[in-house]
Amino acid sequence: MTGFVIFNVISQSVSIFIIMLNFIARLFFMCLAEYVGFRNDSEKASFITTTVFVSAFFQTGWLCLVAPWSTSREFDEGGVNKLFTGIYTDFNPDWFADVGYTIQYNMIFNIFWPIMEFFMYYGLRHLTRMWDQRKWWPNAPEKTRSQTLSNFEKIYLGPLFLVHYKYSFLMNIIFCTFMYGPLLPILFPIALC
Amino acid sequence: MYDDTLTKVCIKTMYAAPVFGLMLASWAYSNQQVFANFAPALDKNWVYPLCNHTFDQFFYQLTPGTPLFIGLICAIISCVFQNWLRILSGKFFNRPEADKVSKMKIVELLPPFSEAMKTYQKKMFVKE
Repeated sequence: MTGFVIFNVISQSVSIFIIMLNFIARLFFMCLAEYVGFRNDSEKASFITTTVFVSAFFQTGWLCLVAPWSTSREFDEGGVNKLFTGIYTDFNPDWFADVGYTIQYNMIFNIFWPIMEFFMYYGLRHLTRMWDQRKWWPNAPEKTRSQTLSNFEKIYLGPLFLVHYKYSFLMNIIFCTFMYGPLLPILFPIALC
Repeated sequence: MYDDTLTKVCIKTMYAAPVFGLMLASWAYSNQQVFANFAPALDKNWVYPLCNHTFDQFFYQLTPGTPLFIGLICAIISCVFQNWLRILSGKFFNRPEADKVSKMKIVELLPPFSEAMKTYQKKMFVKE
C-alpha cells in the first residue's frame, strides 16, 4: 500500500512539474519576444506560439518517451548506446504502468490547468483591487486610489485573452494525443474534454 | 491587431501531428512478443530483457505495424517533397482553379495611415 501511494505521488508530482515547467517556458518566451523587435503583432504571436509549443511538446511528449528509453544494449558503439540510457527496451506492460500513467495524468491535469490558471490570475487581480480600495472585499471601484485612468483600467479590467498561448496549448494537447493515442486510446476522450 | 499568419502557422503545424502518431503506432504494432511470437531471454544483469525489435524488421516482416509504416513513409515523403509533388500534380493533372487563385498575389499599394490624413486631421488626432 505504501509503495503504491509513493509511486502515485511521484508520478503525479512529475506531471505537475512538467506543466509548471511549460508555464515557466511560456513566460520566458513571452518576455523574450518583447526584446526581439518584430515588425507586427502577428509575427510576434507566431513566434511565441511556435516556441512555446515546441518547448511544451518536448517536455510533455518527447521527454516522456526518450528519457526512459534504452539503446545501450542494441548498439554497442557509435554514440547511440550513450544517447538513450534508460531502462525500457520496448513498450512493455511496465512502460504503460510507469510512463503511460504519467502521460495520461499529464493530459488529465491539462483539462483542469486553464481553470486553475484563471483562478490564479483572478486571485492576483483581486489582491491588487484589495490594495487599491484598502478593503477585504473590493466591491466599490469608485473608491479607487488610482491617480490615472490607465492605472485604473490596469487594475479593474478583466484578463487578456492570450491567443498565441491558447493556440500553443491546444497544439500541444493535439500532438500529444496523436503521438500517444495509438498506444493509450483513452487520450482521445481526455483530449476532447 | 492580428492577421491570419498565426492561424496559417497553426494549421500548417497540425499536418505534422499524425506523423508522430504513425511513428509510435508502427513501432508498437510491430511488437515482437505479441506479433512474432518471440520469447526474450531473461538477463539477470538488466531490469528488462532485449526484445529483438529492430528497425530493419519493417522491411521483411508483415505485422499490423506494416501499413502504418507505409503510411508514415508516405506522410514523410509528402511533407519533404511537398513542392515537387505539387509541381508534378500540376503537370499531369488539371490543377483546380482555387489553387491557381491562391497563388495570385494581391499587392494593395495603399498609403500609410498618416499620409492619408490632412494636416489639420493629424493635429486633431494627436490632440485627441
